Amino acid sequence: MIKDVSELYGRQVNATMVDDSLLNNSIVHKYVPIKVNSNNIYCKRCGQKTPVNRCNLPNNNYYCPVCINLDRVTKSIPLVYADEPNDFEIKQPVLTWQGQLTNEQKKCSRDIIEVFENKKTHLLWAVTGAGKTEMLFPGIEKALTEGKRVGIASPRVDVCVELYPRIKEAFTNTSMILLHGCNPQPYHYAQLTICTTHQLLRFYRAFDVLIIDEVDSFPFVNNDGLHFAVENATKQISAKLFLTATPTNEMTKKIRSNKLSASYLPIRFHRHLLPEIKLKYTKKWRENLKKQKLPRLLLHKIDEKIKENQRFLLFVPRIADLKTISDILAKHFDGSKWETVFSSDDKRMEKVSDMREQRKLFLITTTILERGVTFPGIDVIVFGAEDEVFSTSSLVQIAGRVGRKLDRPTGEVLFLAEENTLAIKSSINQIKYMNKKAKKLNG
Amino acid sequence: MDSCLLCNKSMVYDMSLDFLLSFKRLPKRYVCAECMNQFARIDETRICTSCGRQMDKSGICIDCQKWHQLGNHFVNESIFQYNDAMKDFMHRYKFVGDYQLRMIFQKEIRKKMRKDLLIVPIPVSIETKINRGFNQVIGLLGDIEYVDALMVKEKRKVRQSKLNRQQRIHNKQVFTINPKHVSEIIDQKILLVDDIYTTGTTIRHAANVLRSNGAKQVFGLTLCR
Ligand SMILES: [Zn+2]
Ligand SMILES: [Zn+2]
Ligand SMILES: [Zn+2]
Repeated sequence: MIKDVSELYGRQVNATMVDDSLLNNSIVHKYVPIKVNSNNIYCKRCGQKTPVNRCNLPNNNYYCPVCINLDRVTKSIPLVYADEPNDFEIKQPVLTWQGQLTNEQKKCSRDIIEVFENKKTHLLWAVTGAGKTEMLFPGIEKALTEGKRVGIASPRVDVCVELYPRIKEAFTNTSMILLHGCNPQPYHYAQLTICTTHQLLRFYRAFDVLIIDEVDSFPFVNNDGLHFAVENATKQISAKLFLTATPTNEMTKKIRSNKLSASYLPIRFHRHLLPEIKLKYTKKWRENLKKQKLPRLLLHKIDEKIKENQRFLLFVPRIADLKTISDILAKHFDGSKWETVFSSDDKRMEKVSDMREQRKLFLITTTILERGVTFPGIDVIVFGAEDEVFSTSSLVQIAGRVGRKLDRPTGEVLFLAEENTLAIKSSINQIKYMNKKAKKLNG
Repeated sequence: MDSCLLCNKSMVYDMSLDFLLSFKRLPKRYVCAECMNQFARIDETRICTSCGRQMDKSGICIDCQKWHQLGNHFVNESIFQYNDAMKDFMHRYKFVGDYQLRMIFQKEIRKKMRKDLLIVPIPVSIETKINRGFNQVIGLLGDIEYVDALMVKEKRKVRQSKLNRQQRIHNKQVFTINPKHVSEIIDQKILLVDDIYTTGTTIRHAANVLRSNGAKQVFGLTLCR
């Protein structure tokens, strides 16, 4: 039960969760979250429509099934919120990070400050391994010092979880909260919020500055839903910064038609170019796999890497492919060299640390390890790169696992595919495009 | 294309040529094959013939033997085992309140209906009805006709310790007859429907109320056990 009004600042909650004393407070606003049309309902929390037969409750009541995992909103229970008052105590120093930015990072970081100052919407296109989090620090510092409420959101829980300790360390004196679906931490009012984009739906005109990290990371996500969440969670006049390593077509179109401003950071912090993608064809691999056969090209590659003791990740399209491929490999190579891992794998954490601590030479995995997780000095092979699970964005991210560290800034990125697809083509082109820009910077 | 109510993935209908040529309407599906496979149907050839739970071979389970010793003979049938998938379903349906999920098992419940039985759902409290917005059992029944013969007793604010033994046992009775429908159950064979059979206490309490108000016979049906 919410008794402290600060928990309602810029945040909307079912009235049943709020103490009566607050409900009668004049600064607390109420509204009915469901609008009933003739054959559908519209949910004002998530901005989505649902056909009536999917959302009716007895007694002429309705609920929204789209955002139900945030807790259910119904027509009969109002949502309540209080206006965001920016009631923060600012303790100096705001920025407790001691690091240095490269010249390229500094340039982008000046753009970011300008975007936050002038409350603009902007895209930062930075290659994998560019160090984009650090570039945000001066902008966030300025915003926090001015008493602004700042949010950082990502569609992916693992990105949020990885980001939180880094931000926490950089802004030790700032009140901060991490919110995502699997986190039982109780809510409190904080100047800096790190959350999943889904959790943004709980906010209402809260943020002066909202940063959306890895916008592209859910290619199947409904874009209207994301835009609604961003608009809803930010103040009517506010700054929105999108970060990506692989802009969607929609975004590149907007940049080209000057509807969206953009900054580029085409070069990694260590100033080496992105490893480019090599594409080789493996015809009828799926049919052959059913006959328990793997392409000679792949076997040869793996043999080579085992002999050279070169660590790598082998990406495959489907969870079902993991065991099949692993079983075939076990007939050719020493089975203790690798493990298979997928997203809902119970032993996922263990296996990832086996790889990190070099107990395994390679992992066979689905797209789950495409971002976030970094293993120094690895190569990658994508087998079945033509499969629809590999979007442009995930292919660029996979390629971006290679050459992240200064002590081995290069490496091999090999795609094995039945045929060339649009996603493969544009991932190859995006990397070439950024490398071209990077070469100019390197002179 | 429809998407699965449980995992949201869009469902591909596997339509054979035979089926296309038969001009039948596609059966409406709410859940994809992968999600449906997670539910474990009770194999009726090896169950406890009293509570309907899955056994290695048919017989009377230990819990039911205890009930029998107390003189309480009750026959219940269940359709699914209460495994992780069912636990998750119940959580989302009842506690999160995703009412559309009721449609997933309506067909299974419908298959168990018999003309000679009067259907009575286990009721929910007024408080639950307001918070949840629905009775989960009535949701599972879909458009099957039923009689709302039972009500949940209003909680009496008397401390248990203040009551004598007789009153205490009586106080455990959570249901009471709905005076509006009391005449409809007299001399009837009744099928009591609930979402889940856990200890069997709830459904037996309900059956006792129906019997003591004139029902001839009472059986149980629950979605899971
Ligand atoms: Zn909604
Ligand atoms: Zn499903
Ligand atoms: Zn039994």
